[in-house]
Amino acid sequence: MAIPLALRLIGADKRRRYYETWGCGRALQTARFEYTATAFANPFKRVFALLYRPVKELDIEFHPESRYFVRTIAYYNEGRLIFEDALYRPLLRVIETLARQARVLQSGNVHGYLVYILIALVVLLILTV
Amino acid sequence: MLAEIAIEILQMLLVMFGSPLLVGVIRKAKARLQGRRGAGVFQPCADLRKLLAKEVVVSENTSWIFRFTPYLLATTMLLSALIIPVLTVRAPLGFMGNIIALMYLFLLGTFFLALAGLDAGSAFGGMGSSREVAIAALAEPTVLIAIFGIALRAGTTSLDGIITRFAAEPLLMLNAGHLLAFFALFIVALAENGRLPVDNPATHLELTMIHEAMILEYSGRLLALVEWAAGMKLFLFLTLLSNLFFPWGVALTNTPLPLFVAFLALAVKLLLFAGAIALAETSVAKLRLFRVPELLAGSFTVALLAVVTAFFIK
Amino acid sequence: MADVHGLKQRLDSANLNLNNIEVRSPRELRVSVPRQRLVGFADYLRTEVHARPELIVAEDTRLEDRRFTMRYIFDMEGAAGVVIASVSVPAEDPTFPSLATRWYLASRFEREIHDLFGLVPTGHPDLRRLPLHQFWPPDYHPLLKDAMVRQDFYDDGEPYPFRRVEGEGVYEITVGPVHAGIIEPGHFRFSVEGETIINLESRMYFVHKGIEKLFESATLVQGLQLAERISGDSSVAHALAFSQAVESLAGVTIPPRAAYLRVVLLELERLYNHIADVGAICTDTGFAVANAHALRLREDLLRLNARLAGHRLLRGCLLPGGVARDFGAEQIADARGLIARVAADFDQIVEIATTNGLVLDRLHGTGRLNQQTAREMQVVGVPARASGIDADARRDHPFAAYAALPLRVVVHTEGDVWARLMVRVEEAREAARLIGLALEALPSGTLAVPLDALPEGEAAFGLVEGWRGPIWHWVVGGKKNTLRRVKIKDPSFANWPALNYAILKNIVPDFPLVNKSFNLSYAGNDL
Repeated sequence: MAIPLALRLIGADKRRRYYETWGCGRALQTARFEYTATAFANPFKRVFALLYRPVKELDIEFHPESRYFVRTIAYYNEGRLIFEDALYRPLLRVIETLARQARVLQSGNVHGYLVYILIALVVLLILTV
Repeated sequence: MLAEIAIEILQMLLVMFGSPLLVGVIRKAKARLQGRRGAGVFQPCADLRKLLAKEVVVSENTSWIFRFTPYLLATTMLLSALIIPVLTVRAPLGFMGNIIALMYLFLLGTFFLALAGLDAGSAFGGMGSSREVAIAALAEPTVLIAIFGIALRAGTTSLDGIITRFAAEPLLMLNAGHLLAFFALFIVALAENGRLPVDNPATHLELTMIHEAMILEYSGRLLALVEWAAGMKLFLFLTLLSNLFFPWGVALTNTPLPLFVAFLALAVKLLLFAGAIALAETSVAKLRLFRVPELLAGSFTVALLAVVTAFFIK
Repeated sequence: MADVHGLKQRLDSANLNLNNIEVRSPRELRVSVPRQRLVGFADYLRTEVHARPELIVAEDTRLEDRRFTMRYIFDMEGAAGVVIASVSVPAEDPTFPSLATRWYLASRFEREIHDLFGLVPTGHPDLRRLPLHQFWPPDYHPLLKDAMVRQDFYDDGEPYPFRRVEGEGVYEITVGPVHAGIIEPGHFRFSVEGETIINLESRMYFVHKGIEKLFESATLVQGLQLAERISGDSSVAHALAFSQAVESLAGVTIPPRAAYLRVVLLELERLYNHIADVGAICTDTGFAVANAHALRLREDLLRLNARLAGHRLLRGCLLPGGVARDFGAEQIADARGLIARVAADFDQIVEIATTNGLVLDRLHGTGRLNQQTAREMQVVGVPARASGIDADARRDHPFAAYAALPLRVVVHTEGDVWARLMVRVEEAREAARLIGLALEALPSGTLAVPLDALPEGEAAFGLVEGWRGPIWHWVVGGKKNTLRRVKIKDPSFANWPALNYAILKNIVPDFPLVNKSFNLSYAGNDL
């Protein structure tokens, strides 16, 4: 828009250089240093911990003789969604049950379907009249 | 018609040049309160000029969003300057001045800034974005509810309408609900503008930052735009607060004298706000990150009370 | 509680195959331990007198006896004194048994020795490089006497093997070596889940300066100047530890006036640093007003230092054998007046900061280091006293004139940022009080005694409680009154790893605050 133009007019420097993302002076950067989706959503999950009820587990394997030498650390994080457990799942179950029962109508027989169409037309006619 | 355009341009220029000055005044006031001499009030202007003259370094890992965001931020702020009654309620574009639309215009900037923070792939940017989004989302209900509180009493969500109404009947403002709404919005203004106790604008510690962490990758003129937009956002928020809650002085007609009075009144009101912010920031510490939601929940409750009183105390 | 003589008797009868058990002073026992008996001896000391190795020194003595000499300095519980075990390592089999799994601190000394001398600690669970980064040639051990200057430094581009936390969504934050503030370089690798820190590893030694190598064959004057410059904010403490080691080696006692002036100098250093730290901790909570005033007081104190000692950081005041500068009556009056004023202002700052609910909320419970971890990691100084460990070298190993002064050791038990802040606050007040007492009781007399030539090949230690914590200097005399080997242990060496534990389960934005509450030295660590 007008802003880049205005910047040019007031004599802003227009050089641009491409370089690595700032990594605090370290040479090697990997995707490991990127923010993850879990991390991004974390503040929200923490604020609404009541709803999400996160389950966290930390598995640490120590050196057999000293707990100050750690061999591996593994972290597990499982978010439970209260909406999913209390609302969507039961709702889904009801719909699935209904759908399963509705399958009885679906015989796979073309003639059968024609009969349904006929019935539907008759019902509609009766309703409109 | 020409005069009206002139007024719009005047408002825009006022926001453009007033904002770095406002930031400078707040910093100066803070320094004085801490017993320091502090930099001059024109320091932020000088900083912007310096940044504009510098080369831009862009991360190789970024996309167009990173380069586009500073322009978008500046544009949304300038657009807001056109529709907010900075000096007058009779601005030609004032009819667009719906308070809800305005809040979402601000949010659009926040959204893109959060994306830009993630864009470079640095952990700091992601950290800032994640925190900013969480805080913005929690501040959102407060803004809406508090505004409903005011709008209910004024009978309109148009900014011009609210100010005209309150200027005509100041007694309307004389109740608890109005005061509550003011406090709720003031807290949100601090949170949205990255001020203490939510975010510390003076820190150099990346790990504690919110707003500054998002813009860590910016440099040169892009940084100048982002900083400047942040200043304008603060300016606009405070202008809005002062004109909505203290509508005296806002020009009701577009003639030179009321406009001049409006200018003086605005300057006084903003100075008072700057002093209030400096005082608040000197006497509080930064909240622990996960105490911020508690503060915002508090402001939400206050806003809710404001609406409730608007219903019951007519 | 066993004293040194009692321990000697027990060792004599314990049948541990030890040689040359010698009581060097009422607080120091020396013993030679055969290499293969080291672990048994260490375990004996651990169970019998609850001693822990506070310092491990290696020395290349191949020119003298074709062996390496290692010294283990064990500090006995209850301020009973030290046991110094010397272990000989033959040059043709440069290995020694590791104590790493018994004491974590020992593992760090052993890694250091592994890098700098090429001696291999057998059974060490983690021999990653410590002081020398990967671009150093693997066979280059600079503290060997025959180490030449080499040019073949090479970075193979391989990243340092940080511990990796497995699990979904865990990412790493890298902070440093270049930091936003004006501080020294250090790299912190956080493994983080959202905002919660699961693991932190720090990598130091970006400013390895070869100080211990520089000490080799330095004269006493050069050594003193170098000691003063090890860590800028601990000039007095390092120079004093060095001087005390040299005096112990030369077998001299300093004159009483010098002893009192040393107390004044050391407490002046403690005072300005603690006040600055209190301000800095407040800044990191966002409470800048306290810092603005703390900095003002610090500046007043630095100017006082300049008036008293001719140097803002108190350099050039100390001297092996005594002190180099005397204070006149006018200077003493100046110091007492200013310190009274500073103490009063400081009380006000502390009052303002500690009655602010928001500040308190940031401090309480943040970065908690529990007492067990602090003990096991042999944390020292301010963080140790904030975690309930009642230890202070000024009382436990008295030096200068501390034995004659009523010193109160400040101990807090919470182990959090608040406790570390309060230890600093109270120690600053205590420092102001001690300066007053020492200036009042200042005896007259000479300032220094002359030293004879240092006995070649003999070694002694100096221990000083600086403002960060205890500083050890181990000094070996060389030819023609030069230094053959100097080993330094700054409290930061022991405390840096503890930060990794204090920060666990805290959130990322609280790290700078926790770090500041430890305020460890990079320069003192990266020698």
